[in-house]
Amino acid sequence: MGSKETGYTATIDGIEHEFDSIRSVLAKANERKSGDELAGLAASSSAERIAAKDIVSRLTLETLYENPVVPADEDEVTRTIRDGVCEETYAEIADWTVADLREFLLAESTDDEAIRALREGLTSEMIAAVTKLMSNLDLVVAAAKMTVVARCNSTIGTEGTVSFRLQPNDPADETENILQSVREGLSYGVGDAVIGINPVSDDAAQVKEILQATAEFIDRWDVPTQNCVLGHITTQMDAVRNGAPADLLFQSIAGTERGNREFGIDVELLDDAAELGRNLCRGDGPNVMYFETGQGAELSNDAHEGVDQLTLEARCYGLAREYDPFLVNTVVGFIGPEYLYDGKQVIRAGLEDVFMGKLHGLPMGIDACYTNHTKADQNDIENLAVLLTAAGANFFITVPMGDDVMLNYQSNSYHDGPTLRSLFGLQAAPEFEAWLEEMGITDDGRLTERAGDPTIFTQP
Amino acid sequence: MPGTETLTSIGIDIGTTTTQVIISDLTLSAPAYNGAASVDVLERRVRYRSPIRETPFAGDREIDTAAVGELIDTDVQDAGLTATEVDTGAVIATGEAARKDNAEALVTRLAEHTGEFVVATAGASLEAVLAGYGSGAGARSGTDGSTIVTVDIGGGTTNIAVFEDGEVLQTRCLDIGGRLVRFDDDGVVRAVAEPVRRCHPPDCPPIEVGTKRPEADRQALARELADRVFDAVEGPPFDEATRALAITDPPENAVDIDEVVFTGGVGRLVSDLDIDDRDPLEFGDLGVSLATAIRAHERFDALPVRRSAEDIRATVIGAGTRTTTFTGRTIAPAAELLPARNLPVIALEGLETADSVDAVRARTAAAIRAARNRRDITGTAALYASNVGPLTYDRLRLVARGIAAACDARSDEPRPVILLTEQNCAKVLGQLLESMTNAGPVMVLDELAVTEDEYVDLGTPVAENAAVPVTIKTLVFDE
Amino acid sequence: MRPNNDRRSGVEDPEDEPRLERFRDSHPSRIGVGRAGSRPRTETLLEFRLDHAKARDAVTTHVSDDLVADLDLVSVRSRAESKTEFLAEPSRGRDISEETAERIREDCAMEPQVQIVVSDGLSSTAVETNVPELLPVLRDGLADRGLDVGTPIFVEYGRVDVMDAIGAELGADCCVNLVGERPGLATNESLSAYFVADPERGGATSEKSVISNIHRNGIPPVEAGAEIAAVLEELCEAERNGCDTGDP
Repeated sequence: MGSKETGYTATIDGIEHEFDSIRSVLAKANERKSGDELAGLAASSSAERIAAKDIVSRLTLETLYENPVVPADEDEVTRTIRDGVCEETYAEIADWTVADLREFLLAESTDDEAIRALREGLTSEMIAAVTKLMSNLDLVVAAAKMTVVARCNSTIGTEGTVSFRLQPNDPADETENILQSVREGLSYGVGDAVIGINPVSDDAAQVKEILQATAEFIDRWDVPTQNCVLGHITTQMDAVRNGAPADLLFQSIAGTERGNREFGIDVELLDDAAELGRNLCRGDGPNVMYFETGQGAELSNDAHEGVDQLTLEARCYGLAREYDPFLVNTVVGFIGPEYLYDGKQVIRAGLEDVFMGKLHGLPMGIDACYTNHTKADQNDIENLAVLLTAAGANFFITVPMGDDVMLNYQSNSYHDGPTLRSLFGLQAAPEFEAWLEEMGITDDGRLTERAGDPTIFTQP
Repeated sequence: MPGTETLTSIGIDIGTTTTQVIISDLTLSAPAYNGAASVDVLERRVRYRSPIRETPFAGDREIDTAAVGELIDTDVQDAGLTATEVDTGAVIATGEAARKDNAEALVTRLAEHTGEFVVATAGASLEAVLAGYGSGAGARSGTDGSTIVTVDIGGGTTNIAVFEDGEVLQTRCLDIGGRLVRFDDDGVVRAVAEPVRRCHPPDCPPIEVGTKRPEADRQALARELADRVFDAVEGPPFDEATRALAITDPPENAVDIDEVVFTGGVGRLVSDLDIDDRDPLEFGDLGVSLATAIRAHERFDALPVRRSAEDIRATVIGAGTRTTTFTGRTIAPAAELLPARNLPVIALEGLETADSVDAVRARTAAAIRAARNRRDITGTAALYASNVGPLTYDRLRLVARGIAAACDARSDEPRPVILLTEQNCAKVLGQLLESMTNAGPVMVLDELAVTEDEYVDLGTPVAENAAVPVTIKTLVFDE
Repeated sequence: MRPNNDRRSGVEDPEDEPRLERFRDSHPSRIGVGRAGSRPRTETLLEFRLDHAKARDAVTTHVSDDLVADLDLVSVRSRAESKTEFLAEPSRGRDISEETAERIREDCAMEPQVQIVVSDGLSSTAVETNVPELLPVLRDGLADRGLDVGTPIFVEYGRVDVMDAIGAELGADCCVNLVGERPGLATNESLSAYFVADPERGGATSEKSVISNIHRNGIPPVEAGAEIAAVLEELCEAERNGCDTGDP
């Protein structure tokens, strides 16, 4: 270990603001979030927030490298992130300040290629730090530069495309209802990222049944996509070992070892899952993993280790990148107003997460959503979806009319898929785009008369 | 993670021509306890299939009880089980076998002998539905969102079921089968079943026992039967000649067919591409001729026919895997009353309009009386209320008082009160009845749909005592 | 030309109209809704907005004082002083102040076998619509079983674990908390019943057993009342025998 952290001070308008650790500076530099306030980590005033950002801007990447927010000897997520860093690349930028990094990312001369060359040298703390300095539009501009392509049965993230997860959840795990909703979604042209179901019952037989039903449907209609049933990873592994046809394996992950323990996972289990996925999943690959994250998850499990929720979120991505996943999405706004209080905080977190995910080199998507006790509505997440399509998010979650009757929350609607594509002149994943044309759902990329009619999938 | 519960289920089909047995594992779902999800069968895995054997008859009028019993004992043994390990299932006598004099006694005895909760059942419509599910077509119509017609042609009957989106829409059952006429090795007619008289082709002399008929006559009869099968598949409207062979009332609404599946012994021959090479009298009956006539029919090629992997075993698989349902998850079971078999159902009609305790009492008493008079019910019966009115405490208190009063007046000695309901209200009615009646133990089970004239078997509770497995049966044996 | 707004399903000229209608009528999700361009149709959009509005109102409104009085509940408040505080700081909804503790010790029966708690939680609508039907069945069911029920309490701004504090203060053998669930769009009326034996402050929510989805289209409140009484009997029984309590 190199430099030992001491106190950090910034003077603004003659008033001195003092912070006792990097962890504290990072936390207080965040835009306002109720979760940081709940954890007692947030800046106590707007001025203190800016003072913290000022200090962050002057930190070197080396300082951040040497001072991970959770010590490496206590936390395997920290070790995994450290192991993922390319030492040579890091050495070239170790003396940059966070402000330097921000301005590099925003410079006209910096393109996708240039960022790709650099990102392997970044730890999650560096990425979190630069995010704290970025405005919303900064995040959009920088994220839009980065493309991350991943391939399973379809290829997502290529230039000029945006994909959607079709989420046909059912409150009783009825496969017939699930398939009806699949038909509806496909008829709107969504489902190229994944047909992904959250089961009510985390049971291997149940997971297998849903996997089988969706796999049969996918085969029957030759849909170039992948299926996934988002039970606990061990449940999915049991189902797959039992012959269940899964294309992807899913797990929610956290930014600390303790947080992951609360989710019933650790790095070793994820390693096993990835290997099982490569060997037994149906997906063509090479990418077969699917992760979900979301600011506030660690705090809600009392596993935040005194770290702010944005930095913890970045560390989730640091862990995820070890597994070359096909999909990673943040679930922003599901967790409740005690973490993201209103539409403004939800939008900010969504922009931060997609930017951070992409800068980690992840095929990053988002579940832009809200629960009914959060001060937000559909307009907020439609706004967020427009911003993130501009930012080049790989994919969005979509549910029928924005209403998920199983998880009891609202996300983007199946309708938003074709809307965002046509608004930004984008296409679906290339294989899926061709399939949509062949099925007559789109004609030259535009919805046809058949679009929106689920019964086009009921004739043999 | 909770362990999943599995039931071992047996299916026994004693048909006109063959007797079959299958044994399967039914994996139960363990849904979250939230009222939306009920206990259900998640996976049905057939683990033993018996050979296909001729049904042993003793003379023309009876099934050979001892021989059938032996076959089944051997099957249970071959499957590595004892009768006590069988949790559920059904014995079904189908087609002509169901019309034998001792059919009812036989299946009832077999059911009791095979496992504590195996039911005896019969009825052409039920057979049609079981065959449709057993062939896999029922479930496929659900996952594909298609309309599938399953045509199960056995020795004595043709049972057609129409599935749409996984649900049974209609059944159509006819007296048509491969064994309507039997021949000896020389082609001499040995037996003619009664329905042949109702479907005689116009330009052909009647088929008499003891005569030898030219192949053309056999083909003419087979073609006539094939006409009736196609008419039954494609209608309504139906020809008069088809109606003359109908066992159950034919439906009135036409459907658009996405797929047709032939099952049963004759159904399997329909799918046999080498049927032209077969000896028409290979099975000593009309089976091969009928299958050939169906294949050669001008309407065959117009139908979207699909082959089933379980063609000949469709009915028995249905019987073994599809006869068990479950109550809701908030119920008032009485341990001392379970398991219970052959409970006749007494339906309490129009209970929702009875607006006083006395009106409920009177209606309940009248239903019990009528059932006892009409159906000779002497033992315990199950009362069934499809609608008790709005589920408020005031309303349910009134209904419970009326039912309790009627039950207390039944006889001097205390007798159990068994009440089944369609609405989700068993627990509260159980609590109320318990405090109101002086009769014997009280059991209320809910989320069931039954009708008067049906019988129910109630198993021992599953899913940590949260639900009771139920088999609903209609015992329709020909007089 | 005006668009046709009279269609039963939202889809213009579907391939299979009867099937589409069946899906639409029987499906729990909003499917078969059709589109206006790539956007939802007006009727569908307004239905969605109405359901969200009702859900929001369930969160932000209060259980009426009249109802609390009619049900003969002793009314207290958690440590949260307002809805905003209740939403942003969940821990405040899980505890009561020392003054409140003193008051309930004065006003309520001590050391009951069963302590009934009713909390607004995230849906005051759930409490308003279900508790009047549920509570009498529950009281009768507990009385039938000879259980001593104490004085039922209503907690404003209450969360699940607030029953730990109340039960501990009163020395109850076990507690049930009837709490308004986070409303969804399908219903804003859903209530849950959480159970705890031998209540102590700081008990985890995840370790409490629960019956959820109590409302007219889920488990009817009368049926739930009888079920809760049976669960509480088992819980008291287990408590007496000093063994671990299972799920209901």
